[in-house]
Formats: sequence, C-alpha cells, structure tokens
Amino acid sequence: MRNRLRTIERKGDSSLFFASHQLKAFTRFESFPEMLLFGKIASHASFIMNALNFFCYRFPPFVIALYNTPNNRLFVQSKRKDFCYRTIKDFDSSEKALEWLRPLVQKSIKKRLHFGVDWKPEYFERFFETQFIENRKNLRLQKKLMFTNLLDKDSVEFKSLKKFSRTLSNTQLGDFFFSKTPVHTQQQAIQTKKGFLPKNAE
Amino acid sequence: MNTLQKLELLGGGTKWDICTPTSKAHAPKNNDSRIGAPYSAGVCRSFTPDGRCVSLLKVLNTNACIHDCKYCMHSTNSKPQTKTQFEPKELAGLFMQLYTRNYIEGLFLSSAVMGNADCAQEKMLETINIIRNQFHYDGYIHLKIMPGSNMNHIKQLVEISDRVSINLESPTKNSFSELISTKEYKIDILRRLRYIQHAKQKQFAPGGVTTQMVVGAAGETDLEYINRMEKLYDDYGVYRAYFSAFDPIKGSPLDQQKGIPLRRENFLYRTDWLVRFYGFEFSEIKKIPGENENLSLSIDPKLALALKTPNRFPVDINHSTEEELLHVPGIGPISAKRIIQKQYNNQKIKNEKELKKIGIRLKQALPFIAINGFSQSRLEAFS
Ligand code: SF4
Repeated sequence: MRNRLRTIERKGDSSLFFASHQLKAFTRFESFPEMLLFGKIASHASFIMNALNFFCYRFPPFVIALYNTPNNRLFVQSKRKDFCYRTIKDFDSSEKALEWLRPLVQKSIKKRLHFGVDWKPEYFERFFETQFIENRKNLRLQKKLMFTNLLDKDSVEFKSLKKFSRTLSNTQLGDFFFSKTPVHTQQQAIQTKKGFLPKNAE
Repeated sequence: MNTLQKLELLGGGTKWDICTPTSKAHAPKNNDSRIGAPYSAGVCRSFTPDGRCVSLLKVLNTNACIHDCKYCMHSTNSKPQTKTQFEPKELAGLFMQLYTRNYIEGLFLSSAVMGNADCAQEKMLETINIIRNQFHYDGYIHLKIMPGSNMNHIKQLVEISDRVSINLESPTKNSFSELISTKEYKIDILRRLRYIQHAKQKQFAPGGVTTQMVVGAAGETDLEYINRMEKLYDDYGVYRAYFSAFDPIKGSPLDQQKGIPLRRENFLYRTDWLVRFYGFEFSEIKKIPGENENLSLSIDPKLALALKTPNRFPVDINHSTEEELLHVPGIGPISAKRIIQKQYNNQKIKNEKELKKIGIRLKQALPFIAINGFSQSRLEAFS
C-alpha cells in the first residue's frame, strides 16, 4: 500500500481521484439490523475520511463504520441526528471493534428499516456469474480495471481474477531468448508447412 | 422457486441488454431519511471476466413472454424453459439488500411481456413504488418501456426513473417483421418513442431515453443502422443508440445462425462517436459504407472517410479550424482543443515531436497534415 501511495503522490490529483473512486466502488459492507454498515478497508486515513463522507451522503439513515485493517483502526461517522459519534478508535481486531460498536448503535437508534428479504452472500455471486458472456471475454480489460488489493480474498470477483491469471502465462526474461517449444516439434511444424506430415501422423 | 434461483434465471435473461449508469440522474432530495445518491461519475462496482462492468442490478421482472422474437430465448418459439417472476416486494427487498452493501450503483429493470404490455408495466411500477416510497430510495433507476405500453404508464415510468429505454431491435420495418411477427414496428415501438418524447415536455428522466438494436440478425446493412440513428437523434430526441452484435443464443429459434463479429458493432459505435463527440454530419457518415452499404471491417470508419475525401487534406496544423482538425485521423477532441489553444496563444507547432506531446497519434495523422506548409507524407503513399 505504501508503494501505491507513493505512486499516487507522484502522479498527482488525477490519481488521487482515481484511488478514492476505486475505494468507493470496491468497499463492501456488512449490514447489521441496528442500521449499521460495517466495511473493511486497507487505505490511507485521508482516503478513508473521504470515503466515509461519501458513504454517509449515500446512506444517511445508517451509521457507517470503516475498519482499516493495516493499522486496526476504526472510523465511524453518520449523518443521523440521534447518533453523533464521529470517532476514530484503535482495536485489536475487527471483531472487537464490532463488539464495542454494535451495542452503542443499538442504544441510540430505535427506528429500523426492514427490506423483507433475508440476505445471502450468494445473491451477488450468482448475479455476477449470470452476467458473463463467453464470446465477449476481455480478460485483460478486467485485470486492468479490478484491483486485487481492494478485493476480499473470498469474493467471487477475486476468485474469477485468480482463475483468469492462471490462464494467462507469465512472460519471463528467458522467454525472449529460449523457445519453450521443443525443437523436434518446431521441425515438424516446418516440415508440415513445406508439405511434409509430422512423423506421428499416419 | 426461491429468490436465488429466480435471480439466476431472471438476471441471466438481461445480460444482453446494454445499459450504463449515467451521471445525469435526479438530484437527491436533501433529506436524511432517504437512501441513495447517484454518484456523479458513475462508479463501476465490479467487472465480470468478460471485462464489462457490473454497476447495476440488471434483472427481468419475468421471463414469460407472449412475443416471438427469433433471437430471444424467452420467445414463444424458443425451447421451453422454466418460467418465473419476481414478486414486487421480493425484488425490491433484494435490490435494497445489494445496494446497502455497496455491490451495485442502481437498478436496471426490464421484463418479458406476460399477458400484455400493460400488465408487465404495472408489475414494474409496483416494484419501483416500493423501492422509492417504502424504502426511501433516491438513487439511479433505469426502466425498460414495453412495446405497446399505454401513454399513462409511460408517463408514470418516466417520472419515477432516471433513464428509460425501449428496444428498437431493428433499423427498418422490413427487417423487424422478419424477426418478430407479434409486434408492429411503427405502432408498438416508434409511437411509444413519441409518447416518451411527449412525456419529456413535462417531467423527464434526466438520463434521457436510449434504445438498442440487434446488429445483423436479419441481414441489415450498416447504412440502414446509420439512417435509423439519424432519425432517432434528430426526430425522436433519443439520447443514445446502443448496438449489440447478433450472437446466437442457445435455445432461441436462430441458434443455428452464424454470429456477427464484434468488430462490426464496434465500428457502428465509432460512427456514433463521430457524430456525438466529433461533430460530424450524418451526410458525411453516410459516405463511409462501401458499395454493399456496409462498413469495411478492416479500416477504421474515420480513416475510411478521410481516404474518400482526399481534397480535404492535408490540413495545416497551425492554420486550421477545430472542425478541420477533428476530421484528421489520429486527432481527437482533446488534442484538437490543445492545438486550437496553441493557435490562440500564437505558439506555432514546428515539428512532429510537439504533436506527439499534444497527444496526437502520429502514425495515423501524418499523411493528412502539414506542418508549416510541409506535408510529411503523401496520401498516395498511404493507400
Ligand atoms: S419481447 Fe421479445 S425480446 Fe423481449 S422477452 Fe419477449 S421474446 Fe424476448
């Protein structure tokens, strides 16, 4: 992450915008009935504050909590009038942070929103898979635009990226000097071009 | 059937529908009890392995249909498949669950036509009313207008959504009737476009109206698409026309027909860009297709037009208008603006290096430009 931030500093404003843009897009929340949205994140404090403002603007009835995993720091903010905590607090783990936060929110917020459908993580996974069109496959584009450092390792997106990187062979320096194709196959190919059949073809 | 199975069937049913979130959405009401503010730049939430972004929950309300569109797997002539539909409350709840977890940016709701168009639209309206009024959602919604819907429904849909679309499917009446026998091109589609235009005068989805056409399913030519595009933009006030190269879908009546190369779709989009962002006239665009009325798949449309109008070139880079510059292959709107800025500042461009710095693609542009009266390469050498 530090390297990434250095690159951002060097490239200036447009990169800053892009980095915060990605953060807003790839942060996933866990939703708790107490009107709490809890997301894990790995970024710099100023980006997190920016994202926090964005999410508060987007979800005003909810309390937004972002947990920064590299330094175990919890950022909490809300636009609600009955919940005026705007906190940054350190914890040992995200579970401990939730243990502290949930009762606090529960005590302050009485009115809840019910969407009537119970949540299952498979909803998004299944939907994500249905959108794939085989003959429009553009794996390089996907790799260019998705950011592994922002994705949960168990997410369907991360898995699909991993699957993809296995299908693309890595080019190493040696590939430019030494051919991976065995010599006899090359000769066979040349012979076939000239009109000879490879040895094993009957 | 449970919600997950429905999502699989009805989500998969919309994957060929093209829609992109737009920054032109309703301004959020400044009310702290409401959820959802469309982000100004339209964030992509994820990318499927085919590289396309997933930013909207794209679903059908139902996949049971009375129509017989030959390219569609839900049509009456397709291989029978499990039919299902979302209950309005179920779909509304599912959408909100995904939205509050930040998986999606908004909703794209379409439907097959079960019973009749009005029934389908009523179901959609019911779902959206729950989302907007019960769950206080203010974010982005794109709705599909069903062919043959009545004026009253169209008005309500236009008011409640950020963008509406109606699928034209084909550029001409003849090719349309070759593909579909249960819809009337002029009455069910074009007249509905007029209704939407009429609704625009009062309250209009800020994202505008868009449409989509299947490319090449009934042997249509590119010139026909270009002619239709012109009418859509000029007469019907369509914000954007989308194209989808015909891709045979398993189980549909045309599943044995050969697919259309994606490059053709791509080149049609490029002609569209030339009009919308480069300010080309349709009369010019119509010169690009060859004798068979199709765009060549081996040469970029802008380059093809430049080669067909050699007397326009070479363009003197230091003494030309923005319009002239935009006609040069390799010069886009941003680099054209930069060159004009230099002209205003009285800074002369002296060599290719400077052009490269501005962001011009030299390889494409050099045969068509002159720097200080000297042409770098001759057109004949290029062809
Ligand atoms: S109207 Fe045509 S394209 Fe739409 S679902 Fe029915 S058969 Fe398919």
